[in-house]
Amino acid sequence: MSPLLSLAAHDLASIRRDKVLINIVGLMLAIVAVAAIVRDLGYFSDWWVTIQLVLLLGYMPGVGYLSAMLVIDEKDSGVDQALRVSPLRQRHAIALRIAMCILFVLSYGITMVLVTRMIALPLVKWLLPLLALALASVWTTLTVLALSRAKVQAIGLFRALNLYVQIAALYLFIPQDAWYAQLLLASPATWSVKSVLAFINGATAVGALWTLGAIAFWAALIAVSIVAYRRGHDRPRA
Amino acid sequence: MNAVPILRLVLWDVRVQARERIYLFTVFTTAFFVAAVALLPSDAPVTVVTAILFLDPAVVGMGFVAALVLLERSQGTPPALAVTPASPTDYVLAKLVTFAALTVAGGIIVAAAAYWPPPPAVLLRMALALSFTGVLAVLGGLVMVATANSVNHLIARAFPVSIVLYLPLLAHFGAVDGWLAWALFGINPGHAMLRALLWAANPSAVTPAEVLYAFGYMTLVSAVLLRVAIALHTRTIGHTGS
Repeated sequence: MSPLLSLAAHDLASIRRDKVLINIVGLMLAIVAVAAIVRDLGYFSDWWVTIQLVLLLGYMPGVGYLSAMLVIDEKDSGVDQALRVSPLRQRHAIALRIAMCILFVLSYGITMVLVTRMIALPLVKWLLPLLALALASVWTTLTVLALSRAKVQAIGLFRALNLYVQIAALYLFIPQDAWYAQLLLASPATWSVKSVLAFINGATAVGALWTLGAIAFWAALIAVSIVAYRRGHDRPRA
Repeated sequence: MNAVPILRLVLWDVRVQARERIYLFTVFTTAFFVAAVALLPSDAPVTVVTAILFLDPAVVGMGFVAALVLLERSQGTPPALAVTPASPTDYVLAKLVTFAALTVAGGIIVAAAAYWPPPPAVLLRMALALSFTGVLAVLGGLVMVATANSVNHLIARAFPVSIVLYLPLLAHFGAVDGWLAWALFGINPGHAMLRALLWAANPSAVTPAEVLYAFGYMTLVSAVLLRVAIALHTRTIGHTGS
């Protein structure tokens, strides 16, 4: 088995331990099921767009945090030390976690929008906004890894990062022409929200521009986190 | 239980929390919530401010205390504690005091920003309500973490607990009301927390019976959680007693 596959198998075993995976996936599926039932029964129809976007924003940073905690937990279990003397390069190990994270959040996001149908958009128009939102989980993973030395710092940092993403939900509740609504554009998640709203209104070109902007914004944030991570990782340990 | 070990543990916890940047992160998140409530329209209903408080500042200790316990466990602190005069009760109480104080401090700042200039009566009621929500949340975190094996194990527990705790927001915003709200959420500590915060913001928004329920139920749940937390942490610390 290749080193990368071994690591993937190890991660899967880690997250299946203590029923972590089954609990989280079960709950995520339950949320989709409840939203689909609400949609089918026609309840809260005025709120469907808001509910859908809040649900999409809600889980992305959380999954990124879970991925980061897999790596941080390795420091306690000693796997971290073993990896350092294995043929597997550190950047490949991190890339694997990011790939798994993106695969998970994207597939869940696609499943959610297709099953709940609270926002009626063709899948093609969903793909880019979902990819942009999925980058929030990558950014969370890398930033937590770059800036936290241990669990407590990770949880504290996650709270701040999570707010930075969730703040986009405020855009749905405040007057969108108010001056302070523009402050929310400091988070690329708001750009994604604006792109979906534009697609709903039929402004395809505007929606595409917002979503491409969101991807570029996230890419810049991710690049900063990568630099911070590499600096921290290259620094010799005390 | 002895005052001296508790005081020492409190001081030690404060140092550890500062070292782990818990205060720094709380400053960031509190600033975020202050900005959010300050940007609300002046006629925003009291339910919105109290819901914002309930979403995070009023229960800030739950996640932090759990992560701190896991960190201490990974650093071998519990066995070291077992051979000190500090008992597991002291350990639990020290965590309770520090994180409840953090909850009150952060929550009061958000409340002050929401009702600026803040009437002293509102601040006093908020301090009381936040003390109760803070204690309950910290004890909840201590119970959840006691048998958790990893942070992800803890998150897998905290995720459903948070969703259940936040469900009474449906009653808070009137999506569910009357007897159905009480039937669905009366037993949920989140409902009591929201009633208490609502009373703190505007006493006329809740009936005296609801105030009695809110504080009485939070006291009851906290007492049960305290007993469970002490029992569970006695087992993890391995204290033999003197």
